[in-house]
Amino acid sequence: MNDVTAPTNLANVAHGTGARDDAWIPTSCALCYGSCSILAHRVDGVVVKIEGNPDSVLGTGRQCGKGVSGIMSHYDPNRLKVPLRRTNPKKGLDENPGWKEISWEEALDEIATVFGRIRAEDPRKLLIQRTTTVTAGRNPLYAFGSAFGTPNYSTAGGGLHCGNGAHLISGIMHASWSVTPDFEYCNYAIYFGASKGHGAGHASTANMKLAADARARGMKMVVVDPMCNFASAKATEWVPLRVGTDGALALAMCNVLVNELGIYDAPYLQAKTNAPYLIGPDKRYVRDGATNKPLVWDSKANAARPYADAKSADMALEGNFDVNGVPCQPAFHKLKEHLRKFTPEWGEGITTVPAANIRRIAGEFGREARIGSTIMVEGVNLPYRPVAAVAFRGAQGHMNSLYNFYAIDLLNELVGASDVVGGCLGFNPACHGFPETGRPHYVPKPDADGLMITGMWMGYHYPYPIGEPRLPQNAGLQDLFTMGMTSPFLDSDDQEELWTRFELPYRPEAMLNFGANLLMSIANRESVARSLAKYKFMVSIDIFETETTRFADIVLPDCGYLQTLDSRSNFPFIFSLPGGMGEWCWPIRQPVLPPEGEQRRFQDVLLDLADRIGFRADMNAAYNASLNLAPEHRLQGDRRYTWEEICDAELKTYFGAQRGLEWFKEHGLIKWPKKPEEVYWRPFVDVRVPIYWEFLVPLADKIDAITAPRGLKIPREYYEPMPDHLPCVSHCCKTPGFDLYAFYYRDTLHTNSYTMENPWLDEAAQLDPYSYTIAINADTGKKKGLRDGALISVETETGRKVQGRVKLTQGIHPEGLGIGACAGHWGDGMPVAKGKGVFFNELLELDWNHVSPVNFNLDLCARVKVTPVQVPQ
Amino acid sequence: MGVRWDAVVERSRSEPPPAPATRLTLCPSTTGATTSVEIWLFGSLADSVPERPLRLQFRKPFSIGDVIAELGRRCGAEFLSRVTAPDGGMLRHCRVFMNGEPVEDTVAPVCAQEPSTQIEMILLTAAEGG
Repeated sequence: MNDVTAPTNLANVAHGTGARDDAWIPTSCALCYGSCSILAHRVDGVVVKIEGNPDSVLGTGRQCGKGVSGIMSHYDPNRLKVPLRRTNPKKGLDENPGWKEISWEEALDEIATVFGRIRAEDPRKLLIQRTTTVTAGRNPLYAFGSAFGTPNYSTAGGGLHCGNGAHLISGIMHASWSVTPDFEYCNYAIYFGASKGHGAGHASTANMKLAADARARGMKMVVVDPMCNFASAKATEWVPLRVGTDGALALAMCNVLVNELGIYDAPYLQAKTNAPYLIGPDKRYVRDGATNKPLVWDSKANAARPYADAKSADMALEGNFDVNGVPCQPAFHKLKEHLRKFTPEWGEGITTVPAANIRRIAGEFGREARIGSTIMVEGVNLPYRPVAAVAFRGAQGHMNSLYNFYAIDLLNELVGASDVVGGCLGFNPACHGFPETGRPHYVPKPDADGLMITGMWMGYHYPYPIGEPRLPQNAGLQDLFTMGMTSPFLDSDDQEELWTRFELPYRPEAMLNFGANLLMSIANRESVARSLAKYKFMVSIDIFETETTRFADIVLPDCGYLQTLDSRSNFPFIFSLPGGMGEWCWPIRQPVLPPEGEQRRFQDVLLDLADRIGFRADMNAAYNASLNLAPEHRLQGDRRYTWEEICDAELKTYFGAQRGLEWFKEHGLIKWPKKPEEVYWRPFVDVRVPIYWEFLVPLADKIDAITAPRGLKIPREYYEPMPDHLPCVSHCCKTPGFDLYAFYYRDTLHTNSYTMENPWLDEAAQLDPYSYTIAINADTGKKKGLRDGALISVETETGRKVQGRVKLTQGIHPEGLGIGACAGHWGDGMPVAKGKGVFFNELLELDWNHVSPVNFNLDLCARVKVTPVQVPQ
Repeated sequence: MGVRWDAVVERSRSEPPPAPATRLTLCPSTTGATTSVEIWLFGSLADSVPERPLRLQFRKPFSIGDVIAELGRRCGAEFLSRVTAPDGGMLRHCRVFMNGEPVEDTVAPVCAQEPSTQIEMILLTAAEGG
């Protein structure tokens, strides 16, 4: 069984050779963006089973429930199979598009005509949008957008919900897209609204094994979360807290460590952070007049010196100094003083976590850090800090996204548990390359101030150094608010007001949408629908007719993950390859089945459009640059390469001429061992990370210089260099009766809104008491007279409402109201999903007042009241 | 106090190995002669010039910074603002290749290839979520 040497091409399937077709084909899952490695068992042209690929690091043979059920997504009879054209010019939530089947020639000609006109007029008028669920979309759509000439690119709800804080700060502090405990060595992990190893997403099944092994070994796991679900249920301790206050808890813990217990890793802070940099009264670095380098106080020389000229051990972390008449203190001194106000008692008031528990957990974390200890790993002596504080969607999905994540990561920084053995690891921030080619090669490096620049990123908008604000050319305003990632202003209620205020010189006219169901994934559907209806022309490439697809003018049927090809299903490694020691692993995704009907692979469609519009040379150049193709494998001029040829060029670039696409189709993946210097890179690379975010101060000045004359004052409290607790809009609600904090959580059975259509997952979700219900604390519910199964209405102060059935549980904070996943489809194109679960996002506002003014994270909680719904007899 | 952070690593292992050797030749000395350079601007930069490729003469040795400065003189401040930061450094999402090799250092002199050197520039999309 599982003999991957069986034929892997599609010849038998497509044309029939008379031979029995029975093959196990190594490829990659795409039921979530974890892209675990799988083996698809194809018999006589039909995939009859999907299993995990035991040879791969991505899952080591394991699959989650979603992966197993992928077969049902593929064979869903509701898949799109022909191109469609809208006949109803009106667009709206209740408008029937009046689809008419058209040929690919008609579809591509019309798209090329419209896109060609836009490209000639102003290419910025095209917005490219993609789903984050399908990782294969990233590079081809980047290349298309770059070649077309538009800066407007979005991932719909992706960054707004999960990543504008988590990815930004993981990038600044860990040179990676996300963080995870070093499961093999960690002894004490605190999860703040994260589920690493217990849910979907980044390296999900690989992390499940690592997390389970760590727990069996004895790793203590404390989960801070309003809801006791997938991670909490397997934890040593669940710490329920008020929704959106994770940062406050972390700040109180930092205060306990530094000011009550005196636990911090001084040598780490001296050598690997900006803790010794001197800060003046203006909150800025005190710099050397000659070199402009930040100054530190050299205790041995008893003088201020540029940081690069002093020995780390001699750098003062505390004290009051005078440099050329400027009074100043080290950044750590400032931080230590700043933290004093966050007492555990204060923390209890904000979070509801008892002060005694805050002290206890902080103490356990600090003591288990074993500051000063080292350990040998494969013959290399390394710092050993077996504690980690990790965060993700739950903690960072709020107005205070940036400070929440920043405060949590400070726990790691204070004890030196950052990218060292046992500590909080970025996902693979340093790679020295495949031994035969030295590729891919990336290592963090310092900027002029010594602060870390990531060596690899998912895009080209690096998290640090921060870009220079300017009057926006991007419709999402990220070039004005330069720490913003995915923008809410492509869809918000106040987008026109903001575009006018900031003099955007054009308006988006067309959208190319790849698989994103933004009507469900961003916020309330009315706001998003209004923005969608403004597009003069919209193309949707998808596998289902989603609610968003119904706003398109032309719909193109895509191939599914068992039909498509992707030469980098898990690259960059900072995204979804497990951290820690082990092996590097580069799998591909390859076609197991041919297209059905008139389905076409979107990568080919984009190449075809480039040819029709006349920018193939630009497309080739964009692929050369974005895939970093080696000179001998670069795409030349305007030659018409196939997608297979482009994938082949990339694989040969990284793994040598003998390991092109055909080699990978046979083997599925390639592996090589990681080195300690790669995994625990931080001692080896001379970079520092900011425990004091000095760069926020001038950034606020620069943004404000642009926005204030145009009537928008930047709320400076979001741009202070040290973290604080800034309440969400929901925390400020005083209206009687609105006594619960509504939030959603990622259901481990589902990925975004996509998998709701899968009948096996739907069945499992119906059996699960929480997936499709509204969770309320049992005591709270009883006080309100609620019982299990009761139909209730959940309403915000602004009158937004959803309905659903109650599930009472002790596993939720008394003030919380938890809704699972991104459910509640209403369209007819996904009939299995229709009407299942509760559409939480309907409760979310989408405007400037509900967005972090620093990193654009949307506020994902809402203060609500619940009322029973009277069902007519 | 335990072992210091900056003392746990053996010196011999303290630096990561270099990236794969680039075949981009750096010119150590001046020759004074001029050389022909073909400049290919792609994507949104393509509209900055009337023709592709743009053929320019540079005195050897020259740097990519020299090329960008010359393009700025010809195409205006708008072009420069799209490819460089206020401090003059090239923006991260602006990728430059000389004869197929990526150029990261815009200050270092580069050697032209006779009879003509090809330089490609493209702006990659600079926003992302996750």
